[in-house]
Parts: sequence; structure tokens; C-alpha cells
Amino acid sequence: MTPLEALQTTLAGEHAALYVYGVIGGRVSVSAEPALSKRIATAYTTHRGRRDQLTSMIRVVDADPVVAGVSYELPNPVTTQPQLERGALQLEQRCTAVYADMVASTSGANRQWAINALTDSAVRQISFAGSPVPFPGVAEL
Amino acid sequence: MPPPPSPPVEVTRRAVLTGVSVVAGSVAAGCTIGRDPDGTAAPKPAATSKRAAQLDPDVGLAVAALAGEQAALDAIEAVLARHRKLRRALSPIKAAHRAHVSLLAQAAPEDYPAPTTPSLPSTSPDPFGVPPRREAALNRLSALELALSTSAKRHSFAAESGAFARLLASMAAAAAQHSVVLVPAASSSGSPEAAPQ
Repeated sequence: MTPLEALQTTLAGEHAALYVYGVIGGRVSVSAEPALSKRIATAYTTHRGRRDQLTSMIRVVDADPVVAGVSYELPNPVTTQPQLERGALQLEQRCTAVYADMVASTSGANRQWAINALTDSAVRQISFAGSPVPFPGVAEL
Repeated sequence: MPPPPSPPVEVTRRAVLTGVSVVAGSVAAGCTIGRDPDGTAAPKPAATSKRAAQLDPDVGLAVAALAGEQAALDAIEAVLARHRKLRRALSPIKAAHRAHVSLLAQAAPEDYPAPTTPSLPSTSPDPFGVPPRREAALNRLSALELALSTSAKRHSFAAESGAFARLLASMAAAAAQHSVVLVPAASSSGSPEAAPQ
């Protein structure tokens, strides 16, 4: 993967993340689950910021940022509150893997961006009832 | 600034280990990291290699990362020696550091001098001056994990091999997870006042 391909792949991941967080956020009851609702909203804002950063990182090298798809596949059933939280966790796990791949394919400031995103996403998993894993984002270990 | 890394090969366990084995192999071969993306060069015994290690900055990173992971493992052992009731809580964290150590050890030549951190015998009852209060001990471990995460991020940034950088970044993320989970465990297992360090 070239550095540009890595940026585009990560941006595509952010498009998907925003879609899924949008759906999950719309289904979480603000009154019944205020804490979860707030965490979802924070995650959405974070990923939106990353999408915008990646868009400009790609424009800097005179390339066209990939656009969002019309829709994306949701994680398994996301209806009940535990399922919604589990869906958010799975989403962050996928994002973590994308960021890890971006670390491998970039250098300098772009790699630093990916390292920070990877760490943040791994920590966010804990807030969605995830447990620490020995190698976040590296599925084969 | 590191040069653009070589393209990573398909993401498999082998690819990750290639990140390590390329580091280890280059120690013996004296070649530059990351020029062999398909990992065909088998890692050779690294014993011959102080001179080559000096040529290869990623080997130095592996040695430094290994020392940090080993220090974290030693600190956990020290806490466990004093606070046996934390065994269940610390067990997955200890296992993670063990996995990191065993992977990094493949990339760090045995004869390479360890840098700063002294290796502490795990049987030593209190090498770190473990706080007598459980929550204070956990807070200290949490701070150590955060520092470890920060240094692993630096190592990842500096690595020439993309696959090795990915591995180090993942270890940084793991340490960051540890630093977070250690804190609520501390606040839920004792008095509400946080122990000042």
C-alpha cells in the first residue's frame, strides 16, 4: 500500500464509522442511557474530525479524497442497549485495525497521526465495555 | 524523518513477524531494514551482530522497547508480590507484557547491551518500593503504563520498517488501555481519596 492509498483507506473507514455511529447514536435512548449516548456523541465528533483531517491530508498531495458510500453494513443486530454498545465496540475495533495498517504504510506526520488515532481508538474501546487486548489493531497476533 | 517505508505485505501473522524478523535478520546480515518486504530473507542467529546493530536503528528501537516492556513486567511482579489479591485484575495485563517481551526478544540480539532499565529479579519482595495501599500501587502502575505508551509511540514513529512500526504502535495502544483500566480498579477497591504520588 502506498502512503496515499493508506490515507484513502483510512478515510473510507472514517466514512463508514460516521455512518454507523450515526445509526447507533440515533437508536440510543438519551433518557434511558445518557452516559452511553454521550460517549457515542463524543466518538462521532472525534471521527468527524478525523475524516476532515484526512480529507485535507489527501488534498495536500493533490489527490481527490474518496467519497462516502450511500450506506454501510451495520454490525450484527443493533437494537437493544447492550447490542448498541457492542456495535460501537466492534466499530472501534475495526477502526483500530485500519489505523494500525496506516502506521505501517506512512511515515512522518501522517504516521504520527495514525499512531495517535490507534491509541485513542484502543482506549475508546474500554469506554464501550471492551477489555484490553495484547495487540490492539493487529488481528493476527 | 524516516524515509517512506516499504509497502507492507499482506496482513498476516507472518507479516507482523516479518517486521520483527526483518529487524532480527538484518542484524545478522548487516543490511538495511525494510528493503525486503516479502520477508524472504530468513532471520539468522543474531549473535554476530553488534557491528550490524549499529547500522540498523530498528534494532536499537527493539532493544529499548524490550527494556520498557520488561520493566513493566517486573513492576507488575513486584506489585503482585505485595498485593496478592490483585492477581486476577493484573493477570491479563501481565500476559500482554509477556507477549510483547517474547515478540520483541526475537528482534533484540542477546548480546546487545540493555540500555537504561535494570532488570529486576521477580522474586525480590519490594524492588520498586511498592506502595502498601493497593490503590496507590495501581495508580503507580497506571502511570508507568502511560509512560510506556508514550515511549512506544516514539519508537513506532522512528521505526524504518513499516511492519515493525505497526507492531510498536499496537504495543503503545495496549499500554494506553492498561493505564486506563488500572485507574477505575484503583478507585473502586479502596477509599475515594486518590493516593498522591
